[in-house]
Amino acid sequence: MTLSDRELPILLATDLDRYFKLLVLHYQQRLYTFMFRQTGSLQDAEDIVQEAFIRAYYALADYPGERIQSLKLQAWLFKITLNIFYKRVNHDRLHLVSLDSSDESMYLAIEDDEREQPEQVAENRESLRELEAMVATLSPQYREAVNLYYFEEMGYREIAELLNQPLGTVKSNVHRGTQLLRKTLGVQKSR
Amino acid sequence: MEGFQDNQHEDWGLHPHLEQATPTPVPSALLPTVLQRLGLEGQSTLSFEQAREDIRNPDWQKRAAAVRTLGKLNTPEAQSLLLPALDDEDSSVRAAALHALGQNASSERLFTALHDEDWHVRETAIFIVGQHKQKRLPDALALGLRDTDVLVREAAQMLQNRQQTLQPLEQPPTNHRIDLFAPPSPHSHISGQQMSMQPQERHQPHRSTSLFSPFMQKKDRKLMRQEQEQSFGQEPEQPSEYRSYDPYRNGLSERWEKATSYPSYRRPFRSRWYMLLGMVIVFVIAGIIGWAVAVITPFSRTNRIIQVQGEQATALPFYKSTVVPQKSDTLYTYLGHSGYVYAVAWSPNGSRIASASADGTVQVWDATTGATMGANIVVHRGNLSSYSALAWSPDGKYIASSSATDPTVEIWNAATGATTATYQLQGAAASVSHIGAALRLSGGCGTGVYQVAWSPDGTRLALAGGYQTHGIVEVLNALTGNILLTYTAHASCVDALSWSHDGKYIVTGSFDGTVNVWDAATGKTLYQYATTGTNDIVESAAWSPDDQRIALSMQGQSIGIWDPFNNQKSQFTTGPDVFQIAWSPDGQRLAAVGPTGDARIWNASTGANLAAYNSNAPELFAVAWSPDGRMLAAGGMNDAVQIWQV
Repeated sequence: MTLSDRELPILLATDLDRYFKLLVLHYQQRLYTFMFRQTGSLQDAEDIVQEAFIRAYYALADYPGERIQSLKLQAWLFKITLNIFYKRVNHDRLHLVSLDSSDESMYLAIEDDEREQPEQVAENRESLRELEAMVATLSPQYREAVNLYYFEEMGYREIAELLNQPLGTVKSNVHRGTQLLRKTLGVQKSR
Repeated sequence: MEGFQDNQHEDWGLHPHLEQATPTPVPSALLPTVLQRLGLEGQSTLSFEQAREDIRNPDWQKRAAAVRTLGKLNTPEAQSLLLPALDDEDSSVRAAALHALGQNASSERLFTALHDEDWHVRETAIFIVGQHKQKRLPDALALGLRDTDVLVREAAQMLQNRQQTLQPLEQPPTNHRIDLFAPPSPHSHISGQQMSMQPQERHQPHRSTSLFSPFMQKKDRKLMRQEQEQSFGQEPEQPSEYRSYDPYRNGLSERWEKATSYPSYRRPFRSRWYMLLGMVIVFVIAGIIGWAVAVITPFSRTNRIIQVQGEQATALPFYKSTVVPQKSDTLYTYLGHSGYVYAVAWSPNGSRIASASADGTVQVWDATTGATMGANIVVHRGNLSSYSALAWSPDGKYIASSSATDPTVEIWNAATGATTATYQLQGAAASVSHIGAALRLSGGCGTGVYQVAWSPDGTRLALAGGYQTHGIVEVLNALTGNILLTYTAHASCVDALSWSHDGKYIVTGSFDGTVNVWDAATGKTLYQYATTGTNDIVESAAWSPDDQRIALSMQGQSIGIWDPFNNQKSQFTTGPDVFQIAWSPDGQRLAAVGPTGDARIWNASTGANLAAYNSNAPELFAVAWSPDGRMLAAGGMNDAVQIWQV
């Protein structure tokens, strides 16, 4: 069943228990893929997305119908999912791989002209997977920004509102995260 | 000043369709597990005994389910079991408990919940307060409208809109007392505070935060300081039915009044007469002072606000001055918004200023701020939850406003706020430049109208923005909304838009790093400038008053001056990023704002930094010159618009 982003909130406001399944079906792929990129772990991604949907249900059950109909469900679900992600990170229940400063400085030491064009890399599916794995090695704030901007195709302001971050911070994180990926690509290609 | 590098475009964007190329299959057990855990697959509901057990279960979901069951029972015993859940370590359980208690939640509990660290709990508290038949709505609304979280602000906005249909507000009961000596919740931002206050003498029952709270947000402290400044010579309290029209007024003024008054638990009837007599005296004195100040300074006044509902507008008294004199070169600060200010524009004749905000309003106010009595403030509340762009029609009668997260553009009457037309960006129907896309891969745009501009003759309207990953510009017939042309030469979101003053050309800048000058009648690209590798994003573009040059701001910390007709380029480094740039009317200077929170003036010929005006905002998003070039307006993250004399 194909539903538009406008129809689903109306259905949920009408009968949550009946239509909640549609919400899960509609967004599970996107949330799961996004969380996999954030955590680098299939199991963690599954756990987090499960919990996100359950929390979403409880929240929807308490919302007035008018509120449900006005929700931008996708952004709202991303917000809930990211909250759980960060809660787990803070409680050391996730072990994230991140670039330490020495690695970062090594990447940044590579001159621009030694880099490869990412779009050339992107033509190769195997390289795409490498790129995806590289995203998972970025530190959390860059990973999140790159994930939302490039993979989830959200705009800067959308990300800023989702993460409650200043616009400048979002732009900076996307820019910095992208730079780090380029450097990583450059290092790998030069080896 | 160094020249632009002639360069081959080198883009380092990442492929946007990676996700489609490598989808990660969702485990088949995910959906059944979720449904099973929620009991949506035919499981029986919990009994009271089971719920009483589960409310102490280590699993948060068991506790949440128990809370829901107990909430439905609505018995004293069930309610007593729910109270501890308000302090649960899990935010979903706290929110569920608050919802389950509903109107039975005490004022202290609501107060704590309104300051909870979790947005969902605060949002739930807003809705619960709304169920209290508006008894304590204005104060909670004021908090909610200024919340750091967009969802909480949306909830408050929804209640405010609903409240406006229920005027006048119900007065609070006279025997209602809020005692905040109760131990604070460990989840509250306001823990450690002891406050006691009685609401019966006030429309809003309690002060939401304390001036002395170590946990109070910096923004609140600042707003309170501003209110202290405003309260000098404060005008008489307005009738309750007018309060809801000003989100800033709701809550903040009583904050200051509470902070400067002694707590009083019960006031005798006679004291009210004394108070009324005192107020009359204060009115008279304030009136004399106000008249004198209005004569002496052109920047004080008694404003009037126009509240717009549908097509009808009603003039209402508006007592709160939105003018805060600050330092010598700051003329005043407009504080009518309760969210970030994303766009600012002077009306063509310079008499009014319009500001668009994340609070879901576009407000039009008198730029001269009280030089004449009876100046108006118009508040436009359309159907968008946030506004990020606006443009005056050349005759100053209409305003087009839009949101970066919504494809809708609203055209409305600048004098009344009434919407006259609504157009949609038809991004789905547009074809993307595949050549451009192949060369310049980039990230997401969302779907929204980032910029809007009228043609100088007022007959056409240009909308620039994004549709998912596509950059798109549409030129519409301003009267009918018919699409005259669709421009898709940019591979990514179009964030910069400017129409030449002779109406012949449009310049657009994109996240893909290109700036294009194109024929406004045919859509044919005439000139192109491509940024260097690191300057991927064009933030802003503006034609000079003589239409010979274009000022560009780019993420790479520089401002560029481009003469497309003679292919001359120059640039100067600005230091921080520049979000928006604007030419002075004489074409000699440029104003730029960005993440430093100050507005800087640059010499457009030499690149010299002539001045910097500090706004106290962490970031500024919008800047505009007055048509006479003597004033500068800037808005940003402090929910305010600051006006400087340049």
